[in-house]
Order: sequence, then C-alpha cells, then structure tokens
Amino acid sequence: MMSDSMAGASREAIEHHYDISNDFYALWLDSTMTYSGALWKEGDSLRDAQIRKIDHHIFAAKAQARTRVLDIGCGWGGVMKRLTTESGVSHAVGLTLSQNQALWIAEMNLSHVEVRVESWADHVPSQCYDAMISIGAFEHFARFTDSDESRLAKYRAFFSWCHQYLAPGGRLSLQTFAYGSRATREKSHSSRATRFLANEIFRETDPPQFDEVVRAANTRFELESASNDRLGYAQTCTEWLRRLRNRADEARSLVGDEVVSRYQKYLQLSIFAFETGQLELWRMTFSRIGD
Amino acid sequence: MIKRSVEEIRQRLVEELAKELELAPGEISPTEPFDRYGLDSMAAVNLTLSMETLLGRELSPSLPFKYRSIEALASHLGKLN
Repeated sequence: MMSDSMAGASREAIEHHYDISNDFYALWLDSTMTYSGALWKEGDSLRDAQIRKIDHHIFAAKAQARTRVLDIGCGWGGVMKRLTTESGVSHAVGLTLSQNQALWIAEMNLSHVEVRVESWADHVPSQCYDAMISIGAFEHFARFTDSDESRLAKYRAFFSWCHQYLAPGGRLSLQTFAYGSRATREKSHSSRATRFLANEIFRETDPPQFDEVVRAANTRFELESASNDRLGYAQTCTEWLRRLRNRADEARSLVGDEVVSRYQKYLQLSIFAFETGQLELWRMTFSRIGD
Repeated sequence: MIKRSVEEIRQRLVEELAKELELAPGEISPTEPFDRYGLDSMAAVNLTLSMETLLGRELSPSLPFKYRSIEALASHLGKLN
C-alpha cells in the first residue's frame, strides 16, 4: 500500500461519495454514467456531450487501436467501454477506489476490460501502457489539510508514476477541476461553500490550481495543450440538477431527503462556482518526455 | 409558477439577505451592491433557493452574480414572473 504521506483521499472517503448508491447516480447521470464535465456543442443531449468529451480524451491520448490503455479513476466504466467497443483498444484497465463502481463495470460483462479497486500508487502493471486517460480523479490526489509542499509532492509522485508506466512516446490526457485563478487558495478555503464541499461532499479532497499541475509534470511530461471549459462544467451541473429534481421522489426513496437536499445544494454551488470562475475545468494533454 | 409583485420579491430578498448576514432587515439597502455585503456563493445559492420557493420555479444559482443588488435582482425576477 502507498505510504500515508503520499495518500490522497482514502478509500473510505471515496466510498462516502461514490458508493451512496449506483441507482441514485443512474437517476441523474446520462446512460454512460459519466460523472465529470461534458464537452458541449449546440443541440447536444447530456449523453452526446459526455461521449464527445470521452472521444476528446481518447483522441488526445492517441489511444485508438492501441494494445494497452489505462483509465485512472475509471468511474462507472464509460471510457473503457468506448475504448474497447468503438476505438479498437485490445485491453483497457481501469482503476477506481469505489467497490460499487467496480461491481457496476463487472456487471456490464465487457470484453477486453479489467477493473481494479486500487490506487494508481499501488498499481504495478506487468507491462507499460500505450496511453493513459484520467478524468475527474486528480481532484482527489491531495487532501484539504495538505501544505502546498506536500500537495505538490503528491502531484509529482503521480506524474512520476505515469512516466514509469507509460511507454516512450505515450500520452496522458487529463481532466480535472481546479480552483480558479481569481482568488488565492487561502481565500477559497475559507469560504462556506468550500468547507461544505470538503466536509459533506468530497471528503479528504482538495482540488489543485492549474499552475500546480503544470509544475508537477515538469521534466517528466510536456504539456501539449490545455483548455479551461468551466462553462461546460456549469452546463453539465445544470443538467444534472434538472434531472435530479425531475426524479427527486425516486431519489428520496433511494437515499433519503437529507442526501437529495445535500446533492442539490452541491450542484447549485458547483454551477455558481463554474459560472463565476471560482472553479475551472481543465483538459490537458501531456506527452511523455524521454525514452 | 406563483405570481409575485416586484415589491414582494424585494421584501423577501431583504429578509433572506439579512438572515444570511445576521443583520436586521432595516440594515439592508436594496440598492447596495451585494459585493459590499460580502455575499458569498453559499449566500447566493441560499438566496436563489428562497426565490425558487417564493416564485415556484427553478432559477440559476448565479443570478445574484449577474444582478448585483436586491433592486436589480428583484426587477429581473419581476420580469420573469
């Protein structure tokens, strides 16, 4: 197991959020069960925009038709399904800390897909991967209580690990939300909204700032492209909130009033944060440096 | 949707903002920008929630960021209504 000094959110903290109930998430996520900011074009349904986002990462990582592709923080398996059913990938491996997500993926009976309940830090593959994708996991790699130095050290450890297990010439396509550049981390930390999110929604989790991600990758990965699609995440959260409200009675019967109210508040705070720039949503393409 | 006058909306916004800021309603000026009161995102979301209840319709939580005083927000919500 990874040492505590390198730990991001624990398995218990991840389960607190992601293992509430697969059926609850299925009420308001799209049919691919994708739980991260979508890439919208005019006229898209939520599902269209999620698939466009997944395809963006597959293309950016040059994962099409590759032999071995890793999805770090694989959620309910939407990326692995797309990789192996539409993109000609021979073997997709997904890492998650959520037992419920792993069970969901196992029940899909997908060929060429392997899901592991394991942190990247504990994953020792027998061979290198040809491409790596990580969507909505980086947010969990550091804890709210970490110092700036310890957070950066954890991020560096992640990029070192990716460098070790990504084949020469390989690419990593990363998506993470981040604190916006309009306020200092200290100011963001002191807000009631951040404390609510840290205590009630995403325990042991503290998102990065964009420049920290770039600095942590230095000497191991070249940043090829980066775009901030915060309004796309606001639109995604707006759609999730609309869907959750439409199915509120079913949601309450699955998880209770308190959880449904908490999730509505979390989605509203997220909409506000992404619309106003308190949070950003970064899609970044990295190419591995060296042989 | 529930029909409300701009005055009713303004009144409720004053009450809700006073509650958020732990002030007396008389200390809230409808024309003062929200920024002057240090309105944070939690307060903005709570204001929006109270307006959703008052008007019986869904609203964007960032409305207090776009309409930056009680007067501006009440006027906008009055038109929607």
